[in-house]
Amino acid sequence: MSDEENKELIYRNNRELHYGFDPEKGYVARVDYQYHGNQTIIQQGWDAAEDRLKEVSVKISAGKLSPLAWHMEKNLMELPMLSAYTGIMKWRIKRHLKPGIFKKLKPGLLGRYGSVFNITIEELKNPPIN
Amino acid sequence: MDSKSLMINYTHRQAGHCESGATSNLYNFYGYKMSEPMAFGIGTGIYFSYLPFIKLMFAPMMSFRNLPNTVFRRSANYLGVDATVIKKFSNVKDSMDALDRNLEKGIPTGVQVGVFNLTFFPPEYRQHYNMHNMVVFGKEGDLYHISDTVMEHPQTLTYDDLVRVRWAKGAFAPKGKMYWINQMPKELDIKKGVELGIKKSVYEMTKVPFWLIGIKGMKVMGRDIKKWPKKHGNQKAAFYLGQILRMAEDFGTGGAGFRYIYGAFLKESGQKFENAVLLDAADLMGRTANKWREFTYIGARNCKNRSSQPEEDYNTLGDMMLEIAGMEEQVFKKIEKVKI
Repeated sequence: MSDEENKELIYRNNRELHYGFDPEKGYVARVDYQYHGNQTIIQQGWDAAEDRLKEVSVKISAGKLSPLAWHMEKNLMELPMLSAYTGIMKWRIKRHLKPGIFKKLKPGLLGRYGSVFNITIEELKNPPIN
Repeated sequence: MDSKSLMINYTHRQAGHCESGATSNLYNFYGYKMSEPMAFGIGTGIYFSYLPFIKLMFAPMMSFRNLPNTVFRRSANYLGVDATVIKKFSNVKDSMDALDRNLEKGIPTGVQVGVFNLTFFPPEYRQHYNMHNMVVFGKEGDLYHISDTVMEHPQTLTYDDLVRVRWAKGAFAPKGKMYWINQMPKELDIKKGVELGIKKSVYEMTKVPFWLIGIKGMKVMGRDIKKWPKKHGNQKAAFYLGQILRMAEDFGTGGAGFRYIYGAFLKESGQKFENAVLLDAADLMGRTANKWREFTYIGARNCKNRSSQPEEDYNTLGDMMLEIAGMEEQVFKKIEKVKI
């Protein structure tokens, strides 16, 4: 990796083993950060997730979705996955995405969601939306 | 829970791909020097499938490697190693007790996990990806010692965190899956392993009678890429393209969608058995992998600065994919009838 590219790195958490091929030298292996071009692509994935989260936040502020939707998006979960984690049927989760119904949920049910997202019931009810 | 300290003298070595890395490290633990590419090649890690009707992280799904556990299972099979795979447990406690029993017996044990809640994992990779592998090689009180070949150094996880990742949910949920080696044969017949491994990979890459698997799938994807900007618009096309690049280059591929590792396997086998056909194929695989790298490089630039002439650019990329498919086809044609 050139110094120029190295300066622009977005992620520096872990060096990985990369293989390569040089027509002269044959196969080589080196340990380094993910190269810059690929880091851009990883970031693209997270930017898209961020955009989806913003969309959901707007809908929650407008009273169209319950806070549960925010946590689903934050945890990159879709219905089938949340259903598998919580053991709550999909159609019930769908209902809980409606603000009116979410407000009336009992602590037991909220706790089940909370434990999957690893947060308290208070945090579940009040996602950080500005 | 007891607070006994159990540490197995296991050597953590970093690798390009999680499962072949774990497999090679396990073989090394039992005294057989086995490089990562050899484990990957014999275990038929190389693969390609393109399943546009299944959406993974909101984009078409494709895979550059075989289903989880193939590398470990097949390499053990082909080499005559006595190994055990427990596909799933019915409950959490059983899965953890079985692991503890193994550690008490001094058996380093591989586990399949999801990475979303893997606390030591680089945050940028923490998605709902359930096909990750690591080896548990020790326990101190509540802490498990983990060798994850993506990481530079060995790691630890608490009991609860380990349960969380072993019981991740979603596509390919691990359900507590674990695997280990019981006993090595007196002598490892590497030659037979290489032969069987190559034969299987040739079948999977060129002969599966389904149009989305192997080289055929690559060609379909190449043609699809050309249609993306018109069909989905520029933004979505860039996101779809990004999916190919992420799957090909993200953690645990060793680069270029495992093509470098496979090439290194062909090279090592060619040198070991002094086989010119394999060496020749290894060279071509290396150049194919470099072409993949070029594809991801151009693709990444394309995703970053949205192109002003998408149709032309995606046409070029599609053509490149077709060229890559042609090159890989050559590789597998070469090794199809190889005698070693």
